[in-house]
Amino acid sequence: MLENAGARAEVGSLAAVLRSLTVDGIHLTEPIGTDVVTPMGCGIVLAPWPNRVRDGVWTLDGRPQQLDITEPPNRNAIHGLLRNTPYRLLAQGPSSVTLGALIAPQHGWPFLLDTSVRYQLEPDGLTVTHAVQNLSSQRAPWAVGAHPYFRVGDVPIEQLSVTLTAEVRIQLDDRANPGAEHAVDAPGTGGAGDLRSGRPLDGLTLDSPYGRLANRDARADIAWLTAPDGSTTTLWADPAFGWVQAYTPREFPRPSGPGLAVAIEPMTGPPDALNSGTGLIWLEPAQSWSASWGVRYERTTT
Amino acid sequence: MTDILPTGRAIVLERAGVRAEIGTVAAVLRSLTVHGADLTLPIPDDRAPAMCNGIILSPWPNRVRAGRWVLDGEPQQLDITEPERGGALHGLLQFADYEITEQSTDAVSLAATIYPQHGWPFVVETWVRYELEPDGLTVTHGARNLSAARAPYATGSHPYLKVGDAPVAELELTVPASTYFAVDERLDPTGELDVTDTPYDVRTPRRVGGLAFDTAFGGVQHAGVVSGRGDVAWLTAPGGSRTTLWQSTEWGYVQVFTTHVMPGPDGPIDAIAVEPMTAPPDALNSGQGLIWLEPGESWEGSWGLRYAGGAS
Repeated sequence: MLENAGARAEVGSLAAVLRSLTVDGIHLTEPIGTDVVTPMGCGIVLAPWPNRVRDGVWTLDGRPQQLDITEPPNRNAIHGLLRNTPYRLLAQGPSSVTLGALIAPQHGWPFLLDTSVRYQLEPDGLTVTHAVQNLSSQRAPWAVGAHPYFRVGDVPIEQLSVTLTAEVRIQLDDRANPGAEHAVDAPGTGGAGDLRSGRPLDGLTLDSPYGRLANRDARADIAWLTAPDGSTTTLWADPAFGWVQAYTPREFPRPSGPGLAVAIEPMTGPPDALNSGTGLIWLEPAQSWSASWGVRYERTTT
Repeated sequence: MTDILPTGRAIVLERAGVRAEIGTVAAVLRSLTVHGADLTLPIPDDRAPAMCNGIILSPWPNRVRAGRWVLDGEPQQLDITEPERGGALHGLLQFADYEITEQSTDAVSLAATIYPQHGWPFVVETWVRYELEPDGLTVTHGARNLSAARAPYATGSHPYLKVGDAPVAELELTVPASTYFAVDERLDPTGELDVTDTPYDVRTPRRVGGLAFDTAFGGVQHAGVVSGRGDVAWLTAPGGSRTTLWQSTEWGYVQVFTTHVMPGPDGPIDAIAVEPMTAPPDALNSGQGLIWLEPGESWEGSWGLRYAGGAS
């Protein structure tokens, strides 16, 4: 548990999960009860790749690599290798915690990576810093993401509007693997693509990766939820987090019963980046990398 | 710069001529020697375990057919960790970085908790303790069910055995087991059969070079049982030196795997895994040998290796 002024966060070691985040008692994320298994990836860290690798297969220096199939219904490898891993506590202060996990060479992944996640509470939210060092004797690919579901306090999700600064969207096939990339306002590409001016979440179904966000040159706000009274929960990110997956399940489990939820998942690359190479970070032996994203709450100023 | 190997943090145990190296990833046994003689195939510092060499198998050893099993009428789908055969192989801790919970010069305890995940709705705290003996090693596996419901458990380990420098093909294998498990083309079991008059009768010594096994054995007769532990397999070198696998009597199964393509320093080498197991393949479906732990209940069992030099 972390506290800073009116901000408070609960973090769990399993998948370095963000279990809750509040500012002055206002929930910025969907909280996870202490007695339940994290539903629908809520709050977990996705490393060394977010989202899917098609068939769990990719190619390294001309050789096919077969990852474990961790999404059996769609026959893909999903959300990296640390989903079921309890992280180690590396450092803790009153308002911050750093958790670490080793990724050992394994099926389809011949690399040794030392990874960490630092949660730092801010007076109005949270900064999340992902870091990695390549301990392999060869260069290693790296991608990372996180799976927060956002809220603006107790306002029902149906009453919120969502804004995504994305200029492009990738369409998904029936196994949720990526297809063509389109401008969000391209005609005939289907779905709710252009969210740059904000759209009500009521009736909106999102399950797509979005790119070309507002943070291309510098850390910037990339997506936000706005309540009817004008208060907002904002996702910001460093330029390294060039993509988000927006996802709106209608059966998100809550103590009050299942309902609509909205995940906006910051990611360094789009789905299947191990195959497309898009956004993929290559780390030389001993090379380190880190980048941050975060959440900020702003109450209405009127 | 770093002391983290592909097998995790390295632990060295020593005691009067006996030496073992352990890695935290999969709580792997990286090497074991008695007066300089290898009892197992060592894993080089810069390598991950080849062909599961030395790793701990938990909460099930070997395969779960198609990664599917049934719990109280509910189908469970595990992750597919052997995609080429479509099954779930060797449990959930194959790449887990264990915590070191206790360490002395000649013993170490490692722990890893298994959390609820695809096809496995249980929290199970597990541990492994390696303790050097005057002539080898004792390995104790433990588990405690931290779930609110009863949980199934099985375990095993995957050592490749050696008898010092003796060529593996020239070793003679004995396994006092009366049954073997026939398998289909995906290596899933199809039945438990009598070994008599089959190529799987290794109750009398057989030369390893003539074996082609990826076979689970049952009806294991623990030999010379003392304190609930008896010998279940041994390899004898031409000079009479011997490496023996013993198991607690509740460890009723042994898998033997022979290969000619184990990666060696100068190309492929012969190797033989003799894997202690508490349950046969696909035990989550057959129920055979499965240990059911009530909420809060714990279990421990041991196996070990012993070396005896030849007369010459």
